[in-house]
Amino acid sequence: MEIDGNTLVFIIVILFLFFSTPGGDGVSSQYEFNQLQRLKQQFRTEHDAFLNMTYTDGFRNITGFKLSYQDMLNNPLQNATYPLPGKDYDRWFPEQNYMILPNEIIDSINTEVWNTSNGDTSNLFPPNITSTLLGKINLVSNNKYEKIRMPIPRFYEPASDFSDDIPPEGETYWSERHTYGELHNVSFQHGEIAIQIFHMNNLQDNNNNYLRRNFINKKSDRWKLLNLQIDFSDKAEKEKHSISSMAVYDIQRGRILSISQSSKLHSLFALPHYMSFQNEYNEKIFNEVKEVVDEYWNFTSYANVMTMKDVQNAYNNANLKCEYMTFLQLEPWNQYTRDQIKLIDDELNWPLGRPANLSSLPPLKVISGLLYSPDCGVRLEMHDVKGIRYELKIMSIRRHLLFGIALFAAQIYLLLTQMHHTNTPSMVNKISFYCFSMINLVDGSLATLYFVAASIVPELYLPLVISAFSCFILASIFEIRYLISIYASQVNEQNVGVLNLLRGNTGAYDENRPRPAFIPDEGSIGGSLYGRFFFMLIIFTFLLLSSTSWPRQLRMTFEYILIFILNSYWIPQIFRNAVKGIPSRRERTRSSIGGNRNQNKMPLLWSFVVGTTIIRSLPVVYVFTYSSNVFRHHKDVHFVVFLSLWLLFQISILYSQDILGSRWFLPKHTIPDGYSYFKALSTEYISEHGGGTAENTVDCAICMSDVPIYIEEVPETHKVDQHSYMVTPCNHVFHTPCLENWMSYKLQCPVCRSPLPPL
Amino acid sequence: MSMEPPVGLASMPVTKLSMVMTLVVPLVASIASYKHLFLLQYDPFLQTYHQYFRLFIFQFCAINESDTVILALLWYLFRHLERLLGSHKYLTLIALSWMYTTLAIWGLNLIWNAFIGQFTWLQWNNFSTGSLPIVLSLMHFYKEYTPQIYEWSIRLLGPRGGVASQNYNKQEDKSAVDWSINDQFLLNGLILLLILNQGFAGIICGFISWMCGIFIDKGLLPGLDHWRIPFVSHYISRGPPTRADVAMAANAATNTAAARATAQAATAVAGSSNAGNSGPASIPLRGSSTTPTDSSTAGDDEPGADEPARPLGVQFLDIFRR
Repeated sequence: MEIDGNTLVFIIVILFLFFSTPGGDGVSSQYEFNQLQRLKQQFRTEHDAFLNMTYTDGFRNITGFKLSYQDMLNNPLQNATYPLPGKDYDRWFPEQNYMILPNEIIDSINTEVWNTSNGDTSNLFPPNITSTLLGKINLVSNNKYEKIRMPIPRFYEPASDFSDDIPPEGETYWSERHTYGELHNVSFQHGEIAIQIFHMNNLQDNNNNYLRRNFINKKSDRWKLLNLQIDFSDKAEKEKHSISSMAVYDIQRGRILSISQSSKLHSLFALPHYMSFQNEYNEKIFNEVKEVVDEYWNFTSYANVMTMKDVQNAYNNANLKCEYMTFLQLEPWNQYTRDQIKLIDDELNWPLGRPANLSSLPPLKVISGLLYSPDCGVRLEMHDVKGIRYELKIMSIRRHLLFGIALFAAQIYLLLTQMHHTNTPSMVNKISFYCFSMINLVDGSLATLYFVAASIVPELYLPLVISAFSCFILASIFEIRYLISIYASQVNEQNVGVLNLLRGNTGAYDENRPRPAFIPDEGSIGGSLYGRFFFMLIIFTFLLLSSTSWPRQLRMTFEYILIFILNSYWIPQIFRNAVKGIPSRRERTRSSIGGNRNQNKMPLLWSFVVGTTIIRSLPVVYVFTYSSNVFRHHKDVHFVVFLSLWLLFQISILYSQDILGSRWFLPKHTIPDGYSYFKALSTEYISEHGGGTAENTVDCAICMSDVPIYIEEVPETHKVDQHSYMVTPCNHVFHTPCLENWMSYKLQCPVCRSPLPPL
Repeated sequence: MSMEPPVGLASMPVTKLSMVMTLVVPLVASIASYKHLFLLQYDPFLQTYHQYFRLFIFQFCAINESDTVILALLWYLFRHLERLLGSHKYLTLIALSWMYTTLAIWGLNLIWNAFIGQFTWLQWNNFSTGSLPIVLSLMHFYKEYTPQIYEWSIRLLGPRGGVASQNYNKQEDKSAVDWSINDQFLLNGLILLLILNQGFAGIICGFISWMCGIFIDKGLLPGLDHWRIPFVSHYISRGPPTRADVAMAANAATNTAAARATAQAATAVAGSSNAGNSGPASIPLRGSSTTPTDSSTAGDDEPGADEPARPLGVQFLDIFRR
């Protein structure tokens, strides 16, 4: 490429756009700087208030907690101002006068959710609960409770024009804006929930980067800080809600409390009060949680490291989502002793082969859980929420990947035997290009998906990369290599109609027929095929990746159709067989006595056909029939049975073609006569083309010796076997072994280079 | 025995097996994330958990990648031993070394920890990883039975070219250091690296294993003289070519078909007489032009006779050649 001035300017502009993005805290204007300062200032003020808070103290000026549920009952249009006239800030009790929860919710949390171990701490809970829990969620009510008004400070709003430097003052309420419909409500009755739990162990110390110590709170045997990612939706996935929030885990009692945080609710400072509203040890719990939260604040220097991203996220979450408080109670692991739990934990963390029976490890189970949204008045409850530990899940996925690698290896081996089986152009010519294109497309996109996954899941990097590698070798080296030779052997037929091909002929020898101007060599075919392969691969992979986020109905239809189409890979081969007209097995054995034994074999090895079908359908069968599969795919046995029958049908057709001849299903009169290389010649031919040295012979251009030919008019030549020589469509005569040998290299006439119909 | 060692592992099945195992087992174990099973320590695995299976598998997989590579190189250098002893005897020697070194290391470890290792800081806890014990046991045989082919010396002069540079008499330079190095210095260096790489455990286990090798050789630890691993001779029948094989192969190539028949008979006789001692005598050098098996005698009516047999490895390569 020549680089002129315009290109250079273009490149510089692109580079400028790349490198001029804001770094660090993401601030790109004076306005944003002021926004960020306001946010930090607000958090610092609230943190100071938080430090002075005691168990008997109310919330004062903390965002989102200025109003209690009782305030809203008293005056539904009450604005959240501080101090509220007549409100008692010096006392705090766990009831709706002081909390944003109604008394009914508080009671049901006390009696139904957090009821496993109140005073006694004899129950044992696993200290490390990284996992993904799946279960069902039900709506209890979405209109019964008063919605607490939570204003969004206006300084979060983006600048209205470039000259704006100072963010606006004041606050806005939802009621002053247009409503967002189901965004601020939950409208389905029954749905599914997924809770991902991460531990905040890997926080990096932002103050001194070079030390890189991990966050360990002083009371880590009793309290852990978690990150909770809660997603719930209805079955059809039309309405999705997702909450990401910090959580506190009480290891002694198996309780998890999570309150979402946004610009209208600063839940960090409410965790101590809401964790401790229950029993007689409450003041102790309050102080411990407060200490943990404060430790976390200091460790991460919470306010100092905020960026513009936090500002925007907080603003978006406040506008688009309800705030949710999540109360979870885990099932105790009382079947283990404390030492056993520690052993299991160590083994999962750092496997050494300790005698911890990991295969019998019970799943983490939420025995009771409640979601309540104070600002939307929505109450949800969950049941059957459980999941195995993350490390166990990784181990299980690893086993699946290893099995997949074995499948790839088997497929590579089968393909090699198949390639060895068809090692002449005549044989390769009978193979369907589209059959292998479909197989190749699936393998190629699997390789890309594995590569993508390898960068997402660092724990499985090694097996994923090995899988991607073996898959990529299979797809882009062996299969493409085979496709290139198939394509090269079929170049002759590109401009020929199916009927002509049925005649077994690349068209009668016809001077007027446009022949390909040049026959491309394998190098150029390879180039174009590789280009097509990678293009298809990228398109297909993007389609697959985007389809995972489609609504359930559409996604399932797409999936079923796609799996059906991609499992029809023998259909093109059936058509190809019919076009090429392979004789039945009996005829083949008969004709093999007379020579050309290699030319009439079935193009596909049976071990390849059966092996490939099994290898390719095993994953589908697993995903669709094994209900607790690693992909969280639903179970559908009917589809698998249908698919197996379909594959069986294809294979049986292939087999019948092998036994009965590949055109048995075509009516006799639709099959035109094929070209026959073996025919008698006339004396005209000799006079036209000149004979050989002896009488009634011609020269074979390959071995340069005489070919005795059968001439209709000359009776003494009738002793000559018509199968001993071959006449090409372009009227050149060769010995049968000579031309057959040549045709196993190239399907072109050795004399005039016109295409030859394969045998 | 010729001075030039054969290159490659074409006729060395046991060496090939050892190298492949040394490389493939760690690879598969790390992909499957089961490498920790090959870690052996007295506390907690033997003492607390009673996981005695670790004793029998720890020699199959080195934990460190560097150990894996060093061991693979050492197995390659030890191919002379296979040439010397014959594949069957070599395999027997490896198996015996594996058994005796494992038992010796384990037993001595138990004795040490029962009497001296009562104190925590004296406890012998760590073991070597990988096939270090087997290799150290084989090293005795290598040193004992492989002739030194050449040596050279390195002369290190004193500071500033040594005193000799002024005296014009290098022979009298007292500060110069002479290092004599023979052709086995690569092996010595690798063994040293292997042992030092594993620290104290490597030194102890290595020393015990070396003693095991000596005792096996002297017959103190029985087995090598009269016993062979049964049932495997079929798989390793293509042992390394011995001098007799080479001679016979040359003979067969130069002589007529009649002479060839007698040579084959001689091979058969030699094979049956050698079987007890140094493994079955093998067919002659593969791939050389002197091979007496004549492909032209194969029937033409056999399918695929017109093209040579293509093993899978050749198929792989052919795919890219085409």
